[in-house]
Amino acid sequence: MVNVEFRDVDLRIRKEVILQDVNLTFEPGKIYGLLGRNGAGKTTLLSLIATYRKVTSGTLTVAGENPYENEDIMPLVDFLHQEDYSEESTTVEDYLKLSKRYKSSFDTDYALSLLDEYNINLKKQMMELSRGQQAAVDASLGLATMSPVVLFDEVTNGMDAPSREKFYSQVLNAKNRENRIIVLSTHIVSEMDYLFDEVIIIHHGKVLVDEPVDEFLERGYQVTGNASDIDAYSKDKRVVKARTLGPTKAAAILGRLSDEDASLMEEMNLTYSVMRMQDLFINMTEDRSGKEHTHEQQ
Amino acid sequence: MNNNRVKNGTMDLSYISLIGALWYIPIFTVIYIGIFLIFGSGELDNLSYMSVGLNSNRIFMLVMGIIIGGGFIKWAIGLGVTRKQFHKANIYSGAMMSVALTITMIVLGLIIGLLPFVGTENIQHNLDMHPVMNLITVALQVYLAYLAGSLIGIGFYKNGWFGALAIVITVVCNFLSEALDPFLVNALGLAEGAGILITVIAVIIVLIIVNRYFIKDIAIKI
Repeated sequence: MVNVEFRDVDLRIRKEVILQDVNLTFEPGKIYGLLGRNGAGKTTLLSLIATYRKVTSGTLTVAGENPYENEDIMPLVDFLHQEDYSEESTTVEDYLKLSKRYKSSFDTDYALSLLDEYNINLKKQMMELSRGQQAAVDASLGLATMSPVVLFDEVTNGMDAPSREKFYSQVLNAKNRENRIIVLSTHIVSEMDYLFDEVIIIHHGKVLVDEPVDEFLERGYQVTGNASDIDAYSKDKRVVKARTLGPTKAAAILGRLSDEDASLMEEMNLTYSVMRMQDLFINMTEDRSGKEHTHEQQ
Repeated sequence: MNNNRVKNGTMDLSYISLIGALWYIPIFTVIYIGIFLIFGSGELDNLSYMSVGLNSNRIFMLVMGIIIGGGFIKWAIGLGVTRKQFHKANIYSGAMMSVALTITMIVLGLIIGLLPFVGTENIQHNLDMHPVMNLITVALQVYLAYLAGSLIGIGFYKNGWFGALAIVITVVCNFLSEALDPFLVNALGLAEGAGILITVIAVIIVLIIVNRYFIKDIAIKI
């Protein structure tokens, strides 16, 4: 079983701090959602696991060993990210053969079955495929390598909605999933949240959140009820979003629901619901300096 | 399994060079024959196909070195190949291609030389050793050009300063073999060209080491 561990990892490029004090553990059998705003450091974090870069300080291990320039460990990791195939004359079929030659664990039949779902013509050159089809090839190859660590960085970019749905289904049903770490770095939180077992949020190069989805969703909630009751209930709470429709108001509140809050809600006849992951993510990573903390929408 | 990765890398990088060579050799041959058809062998008799070809091989391999050195490192790392393995594959592939290209040029030179209107003289006047040693020297010069190109490619992939440094190293290496030849020949009492051979071997070793140093901690850009 292969684990990936970051211990006090820093990455500086020239004098700029890109990642700071990163402590994370990735375990087999789980799908991780890696979230973060543009430039937060998601891709850089993944590129460290794939040894595209060397950590500046701290310890990064894959299967207990430093992966950097480690010929036994590097093949255990697959990093799929957006590629420019505009001049790539290699056919899809040749890509499969190439993967098989370099990765003995590559399952060609599985790759063919995954590609078949996207109706990809294997005889076509990569540059002849649409961006969505190229992304589908990448996604399929990533799953079919059977590597214990698969890192998908915005891999669905360019795919249309049906293709994205297919990919999500393929991830959930991935072969040998119980022994593999799958990391999905994405901006499309609303579509993928149901896939995640754990959520990691990177913000300004630091780990803001690293916890199971259930726990993460407890970081905020939504209450609905009479507008004046909502105002009374939420006056000392951090309301991140509120909507009013006639006498009814819905407020999204950041913070865990205490027993006291729950009884108060019952007394006031307010309805509780879970906050959407995307809303939580947006609100937690919003830089609020000089901005209003509450967005009122009428 | 790990040695396989070096072997696969060597074969794949050689395949890329081979594709380049399949463009280069016909184009070169057509231009060579075209020039002789236009100007005639009277004017250009000192330019045999073999001698011109062996010189232009260096330029071709310099370009292939630049392309492969800078253009395929990301591809290799993405396939689980380490930087060290890529370096090995690159130097093996360069060596194989240099030998193959030199032999190809010699064979083609013998065939083209049968044409009545082409040049016959060899302009490699500075090599006066045994013919086999001369050919080894020429093949090594082609290999040196490949390593220099690879260094430039990797250097510019790393950053502009390393690219500029690679160009400086390449220029110095290019001059070094010609400049040191008379000195070594006189000092050691060797045949003319032996100094070039010795210097080229030394420079190749230096370039292999510098290539490794450049690639050692190279960051892959995405």
